[in-house]
Amino acid sequence: MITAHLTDTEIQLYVAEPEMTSEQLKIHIHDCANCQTRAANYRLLFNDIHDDAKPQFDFDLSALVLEQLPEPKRAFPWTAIMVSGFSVLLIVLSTIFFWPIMDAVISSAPMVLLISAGTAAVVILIFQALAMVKNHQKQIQTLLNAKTLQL
Amino acid sequence: MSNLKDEQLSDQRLVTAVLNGDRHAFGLIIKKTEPLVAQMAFKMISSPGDRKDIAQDVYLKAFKNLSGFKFQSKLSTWIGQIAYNTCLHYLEKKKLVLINNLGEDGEIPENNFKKDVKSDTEEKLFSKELAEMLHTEIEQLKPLYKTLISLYHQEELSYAEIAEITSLPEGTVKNYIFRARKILKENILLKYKRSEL
Repeated sequence: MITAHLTDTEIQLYVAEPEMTSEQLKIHIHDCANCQTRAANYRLLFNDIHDDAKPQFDFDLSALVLEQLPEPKRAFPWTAIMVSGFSVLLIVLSTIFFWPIMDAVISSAPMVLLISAGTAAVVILIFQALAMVKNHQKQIQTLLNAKTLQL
Repeated sequence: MSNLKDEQLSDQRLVTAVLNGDRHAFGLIIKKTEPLVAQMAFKMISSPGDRKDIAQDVYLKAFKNLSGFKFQSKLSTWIGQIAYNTCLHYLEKKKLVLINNLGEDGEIPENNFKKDVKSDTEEKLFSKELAEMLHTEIEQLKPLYKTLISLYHQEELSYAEIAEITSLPEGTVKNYIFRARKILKENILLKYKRSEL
């Protein structure tokens, strides 16, 4: 049993975060009128601080800031252009270099196999494009959904 | 935990929209974080004109550096950091101090307080007048103390979030908040006792 009164810090901790207070301290407070009064005072103080009017700007901050924002500058997509150019060059060079082999494979393969491979490739591309469009639409919907942007 | 994730997701959408040129989204960010910025501006800056400039400066800085925001914290915490540092810079420029020293709570010894406490006095103390008195006393506190008290009790931020905003160790934040509350309580008690005499 703790006989000395709790320190101010212990009282504050008991009021603000009771779960952090040891059982021994809680027992003392339960039996001590002085500590109970001090805890009640802090409880009242905390509630009053919480209820104190919050400061507010007396001007429209959002409008003031938005009118000062610089115009968005779209950076020229150098990286995308370079990557695309490099990819096209690589495909063209590969085609030229491997053309004799490719020509031999194509001419020796049965027509059914070639048509099947081509169809499969086209179908996969269509499905991928559809998935991309669907995903994009979903993202736009989420972005425009008032609930997700609710403040 | 899921609230935090939802908030981060919402932050991410807003930031992405702003980076894609949507100014309206930045307006939403301002509306969302304005109460926090106002708390710091009002608690740390006394001049209304300077407060207005600083509030705008905070958001212009945030807009300029938004592409560098890595979502390692909540967007509001990040903007809170900018606001705190901007106010701090202002105080330094004006040669004002955020906090004097650590000796303030030695003014009214704990023993004296305990000895003088009478239940009826304390009952009177925490009467209807308390709210008004408290408001005045909060304003009398050092800028850092009143900022921390407001962030914790009014904005309901955790010690960890306040530590992140102020770049102070969490233990120091806790210590300062405890000290600020003690000063508040003792000042109110003193004031009340004086008015009784």
